[in-house]
Amino acid sequence: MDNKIPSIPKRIGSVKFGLISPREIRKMSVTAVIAADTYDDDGYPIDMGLMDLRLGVIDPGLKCKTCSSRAGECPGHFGHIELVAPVIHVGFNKMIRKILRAICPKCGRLSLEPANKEEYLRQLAKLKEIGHLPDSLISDIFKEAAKAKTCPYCNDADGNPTKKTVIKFEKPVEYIEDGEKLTPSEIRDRFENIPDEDVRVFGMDPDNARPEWMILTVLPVPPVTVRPSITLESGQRSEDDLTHKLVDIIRINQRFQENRDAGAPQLIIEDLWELLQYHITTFFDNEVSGVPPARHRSGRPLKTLSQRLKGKEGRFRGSLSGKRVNFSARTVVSPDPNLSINEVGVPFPIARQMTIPIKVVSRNIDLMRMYVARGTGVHPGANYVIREDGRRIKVTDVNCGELSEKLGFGWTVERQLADGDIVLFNRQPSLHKMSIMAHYIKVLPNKTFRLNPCVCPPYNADFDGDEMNMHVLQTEESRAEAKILMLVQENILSPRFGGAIIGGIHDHISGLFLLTRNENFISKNGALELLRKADIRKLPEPAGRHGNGEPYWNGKQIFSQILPKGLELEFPAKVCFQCEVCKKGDCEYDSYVIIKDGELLKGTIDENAIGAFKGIVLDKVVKEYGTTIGAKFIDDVTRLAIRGVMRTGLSFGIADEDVPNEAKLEISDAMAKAEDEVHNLIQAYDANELESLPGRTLAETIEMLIMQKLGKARDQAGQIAGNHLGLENSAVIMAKSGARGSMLNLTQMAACVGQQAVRGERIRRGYSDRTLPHFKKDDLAADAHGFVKASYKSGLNPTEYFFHAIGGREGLVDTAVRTSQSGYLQRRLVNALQDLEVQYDGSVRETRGVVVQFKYGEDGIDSTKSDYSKPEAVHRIVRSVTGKEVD
Amino acid sequence: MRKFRLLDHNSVPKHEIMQEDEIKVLLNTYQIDKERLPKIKGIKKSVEKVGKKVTKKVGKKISDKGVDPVVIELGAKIGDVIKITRISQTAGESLYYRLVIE
Ligand SMILES: [Mg+2]
Ligand SMILES: [Zn+2]
Ligand SMILES: [Zn+2]
Ligand SMILES: [Zn+2]
Repeated sequence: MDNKIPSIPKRIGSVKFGLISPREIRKMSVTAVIAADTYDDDGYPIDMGLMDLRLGVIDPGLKCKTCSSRAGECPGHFGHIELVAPVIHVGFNKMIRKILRAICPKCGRLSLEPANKEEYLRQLAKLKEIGHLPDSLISDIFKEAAKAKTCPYCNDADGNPTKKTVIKFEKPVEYIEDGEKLTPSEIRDRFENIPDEDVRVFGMDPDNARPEWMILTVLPVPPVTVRPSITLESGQRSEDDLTHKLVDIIRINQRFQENRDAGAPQLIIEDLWELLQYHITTFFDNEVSGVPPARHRSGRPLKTLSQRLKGKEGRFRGSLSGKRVNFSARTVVSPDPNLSINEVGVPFPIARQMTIPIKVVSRNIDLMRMYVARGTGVHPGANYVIREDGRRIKVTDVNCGELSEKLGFGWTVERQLADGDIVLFNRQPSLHKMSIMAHYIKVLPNKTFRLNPCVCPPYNADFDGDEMNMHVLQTEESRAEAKILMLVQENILSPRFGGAIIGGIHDHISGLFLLTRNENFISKNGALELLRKADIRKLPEPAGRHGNGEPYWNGKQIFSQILPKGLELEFPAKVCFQCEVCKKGDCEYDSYVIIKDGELLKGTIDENAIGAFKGIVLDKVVKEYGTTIGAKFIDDVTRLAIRGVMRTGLSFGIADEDVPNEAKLEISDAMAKAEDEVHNLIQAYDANELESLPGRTLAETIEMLIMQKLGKARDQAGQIAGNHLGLENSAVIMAKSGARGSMLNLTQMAACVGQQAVRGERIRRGYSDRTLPHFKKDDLAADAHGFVKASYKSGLNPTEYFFHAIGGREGLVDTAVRTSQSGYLQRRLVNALQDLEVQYDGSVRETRGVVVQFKYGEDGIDSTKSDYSKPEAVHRIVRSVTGKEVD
Repeated sequence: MRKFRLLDHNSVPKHEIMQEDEIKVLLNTYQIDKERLPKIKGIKKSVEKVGKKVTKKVGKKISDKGVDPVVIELGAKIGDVIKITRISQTAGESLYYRLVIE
């Protein structure tokens, strides 16, 4: 049998939207549905019931009475319910309201002068011609027509123009005119009266959408295939929510009919009409405001039509644009600095579940036999084999031996993941291409994915519970592509700024800083221990010998061992004090790095050398020696750094924030002085002696001056604290080397937290003319407006604590708002740019071939291959080849 | 008082109408037809005459809606190609071309 769907490509010429007319509903219906029931006692669908066989089939074995195909092939067919009385469609309430207000209640004509109508028609046609949306014009038309107090076309019984009264709308579906409720029938009658030419004036096409079709007289019944019933394990049938709703509708419709035929009192009729309206409203949308949602017996609200489409899990975002895949795994990530940056540690249980299909050929049949023979229990085993005829057989402990022998050419073995397999690794949100990279697997015990901390920056991962996804590649082509394009080492350089995004972080930086900073007399044992993992076969000549003849090496020598031969570099380190005239190699702080022929001669290694985002050495190694050597360099550097930091040890405790008493005095002196100055400023302001800054009012000026003074005071306090803590303080080491934290953090911990701000200004809100009752009214002093004199170590006083909480709250709100906003911006940008492509001629074009940019980025340069777009690269090459400087 | 000229403004890059032979070279280098060029909105052919008349009187045309001011300034016709020389952060100077459309 040929089950293939013919794949003739077809172009969609146009899409037409309109309202479905009752005639159309009846025309497409295969049966009227009158029985409020589904199956009879034998479990057979009731004729003209909700599961009527003409509406399509879902049980295997039954045949559709309409198209005579079986379940799965039958697309399903619509039925219909004849409503006893018209009912409003909730989705069109807005439109119904607008039209109702714009037309005459008696003759149904749009309340506009004929000349106006013509003019509007002309404008509509023009908008259509130039392809603009008519929305705003149409809302103008409705507004204009609603303004009319009388009908320009007809008269009432007294011969005066017919009066129009304001029609009030009440949620959910009530229209009140003159205190009287308009029934849907009345509304429908009015709409029927609107002449076609008037319908056109308010932008509707009467051939495809007559206004009265917004009020339902017949309800389409969706096919059974849209609302399949499921059979529970107990054998009991459970119907879809839509079917439940339809049962309600039919039941009320019937009762309505019976009561009306029996001539029941108006009150009962009205109640039933309202009930029918309720059921049909909730059939379309069960979350209309003002309507209690229809619920299951269990209390769960029903999922009706609108709920199927709307929202994140709805048909559009959840099913149509949503993508879910097989061969993927997700778990928590944790660090393992001993893995290469190209590797990922995969837990055993995951490696045993996930498979790679391998075709059996003469060259691998023995290996494949071995995998199958191992079964599923022993690690690199096989989970399934696929025979030549395409049948999948699960490998079990029982059949593995037999299958292994039967295995022949052309079979496929689904082998378990093993060391060296390539997989894709991803962390959401996937904001740039480095959010999905390829890694080689290393199967490890325990239950987390392990990754080298160096790859945290591109994934923006940390280990506070982050989870990541892994995807196992299933074809040879995809594996090749992943290896060439997506492997971590191919993504060390970020196209965003052309520098390394993968590199040393935190302890890697402090480790190398401590190692390369001083002489660090390192014994032979120490040297070998440091370089243990770096594949170094020979130590260089020792830097010197102790008195007893014992040789020693220094940190710079050790670091030089992992630098590639021939590397030439010169740059100021992060710790550089930015002296007016840089003494370069003679810098007294050893902060000018000189590397000659792969040998670190001068300078200290810190963030500027090997840090992610900034590492100059890193950048140069990758650009000049290629990605493989670059990756090995990062691996070596980080391993050396970890051992380096362990040699001296680096810890931080509360005691590291202690400053000596004299420093405390100095700080409080500085603070007192600043407060005095602020006090003087305020006095000058009060005496009106202050001169305002250009473009500022006096009040703004004083605020600015006070902020300036206090900012300076905080910095001064930080300076004092920093000086007393000294360069050996671990927080200072981390801040200066760029490993973690900043001097500002340290200032706040040890000296002074500083001004708390809301929207960049001192805190002003609170009680009338003051922030808190603790202060005098109109007090401008520092402490009354959120200046925190204390440090975190010394502790904040109650008012300081309160102001700090205000400032902190703003920070939290800001981040929350920023992430949601930037996420939306990203989505829109990606949607707009996703189809653009850089062509071989360097131009950027979209799918039709229209040029968007004549040269990619205007200069046609791949930022990862350029040296921060500076001519230094050329100069260096000339220097390295000719030995001469270029000017 | 001298009328402000749009193209004199610092933020408006240099715009020139290209000669036919220049256009030929351009289209040839990128192996495209005119339609594949980026567009710029020009004055509709049918209203061009009316527009010009009004310009003299009021200085602003009724048919100007959506028309790029630079096109009016240059007096470019539908089908002309405008060469734009921009100052670029990355390349120093970069060239861009736009086809004048209705
Ligand atoms: Mg986290
Ligand atoms: Zn069918
Ligand atoms: Zn009327
Ligand atoms: Zn220096």
